[in-house]
Amino acid sequence: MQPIDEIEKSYKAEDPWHYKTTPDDINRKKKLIDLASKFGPYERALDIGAGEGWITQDLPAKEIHGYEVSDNAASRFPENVKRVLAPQGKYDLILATGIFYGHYNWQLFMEFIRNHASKHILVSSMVPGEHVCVNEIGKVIHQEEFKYRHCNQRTRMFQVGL
Amino acid sequence: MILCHNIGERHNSNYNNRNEIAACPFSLSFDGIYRNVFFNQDVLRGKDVTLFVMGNYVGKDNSFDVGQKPEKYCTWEEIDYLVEQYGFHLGWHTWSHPDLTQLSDEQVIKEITPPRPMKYFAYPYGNVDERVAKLVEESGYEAAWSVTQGDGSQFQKRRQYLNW
Repeated sequence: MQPIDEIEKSYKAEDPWHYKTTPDDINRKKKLIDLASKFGPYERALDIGAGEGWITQDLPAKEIHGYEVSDNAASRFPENVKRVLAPQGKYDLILATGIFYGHYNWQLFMEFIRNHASKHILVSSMVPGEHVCVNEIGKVIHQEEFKYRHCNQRTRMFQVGL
Repeated sequence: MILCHNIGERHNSNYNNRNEIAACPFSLSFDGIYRNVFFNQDVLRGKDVTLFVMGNYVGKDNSFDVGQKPEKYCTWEEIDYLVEQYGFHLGWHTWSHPDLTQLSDEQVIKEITPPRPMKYFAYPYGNVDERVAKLVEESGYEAAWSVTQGDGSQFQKRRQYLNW
């Protein structure tokens, strides 16, 4: 698992991976928000691994929470994103972008989904590289794959409780 | 009851890895609570766990513990999450982790008084004598544990490290 101090170091500078200015990331964000809007709107949304909240802030939900271990990253959350260190209650949308990789804390993220997802989970990962645990999340109700940076991005909307 | 501290790769007796934790059939206790316990919560699902909290270190780090690998402690938010989601027990391990047998009655009472009602207590360093055990009992705890000594009575129960 990647040490937290390494993650903090990465986030010392703002937008370390240039999400806000890279066309592939701008495209990915648009696709995710459009998809969430198609299946939403939602009461409560949780973004697991929210980074600086760039995608999080535009989720179509009344209440938006971001789980982020990096204090540096979370300090840049937009005003409408509330940082949570320990999620509470149920979320009818959980966003999981770029977190289900082997070197991340995917077991913890699966626990969050198990404990807090009430309806939809939107997962987006680079392929190859996505951890197999994602296949166990729920029933896939939408899937697409598109070019992203040097590889592809797989986006799936899961529904739980079906 | 088994005593653990950190869940992670072995560095010293303060660390147990995920496989050891998962395989342990006994009741587990964690002193701290270190944040790596929160991050490895999935391996504790379904187990009987007691979290013995050290009040002054909640949300802080172990920089006071010279020579130990740097680690952070859970926030109260994270501790409450573990209790609520998994039904873990909450216990008290004093505010500043002193040797209670070296303190006056007044100092002991301050250290063993938690910020909210708790049923269980664990003695720092496992140090306990009849006087301290009586003060803990009179404070309202249901039971107390030591990792180094104790006659096995309700307020001098024994716990041991999870062997590597």
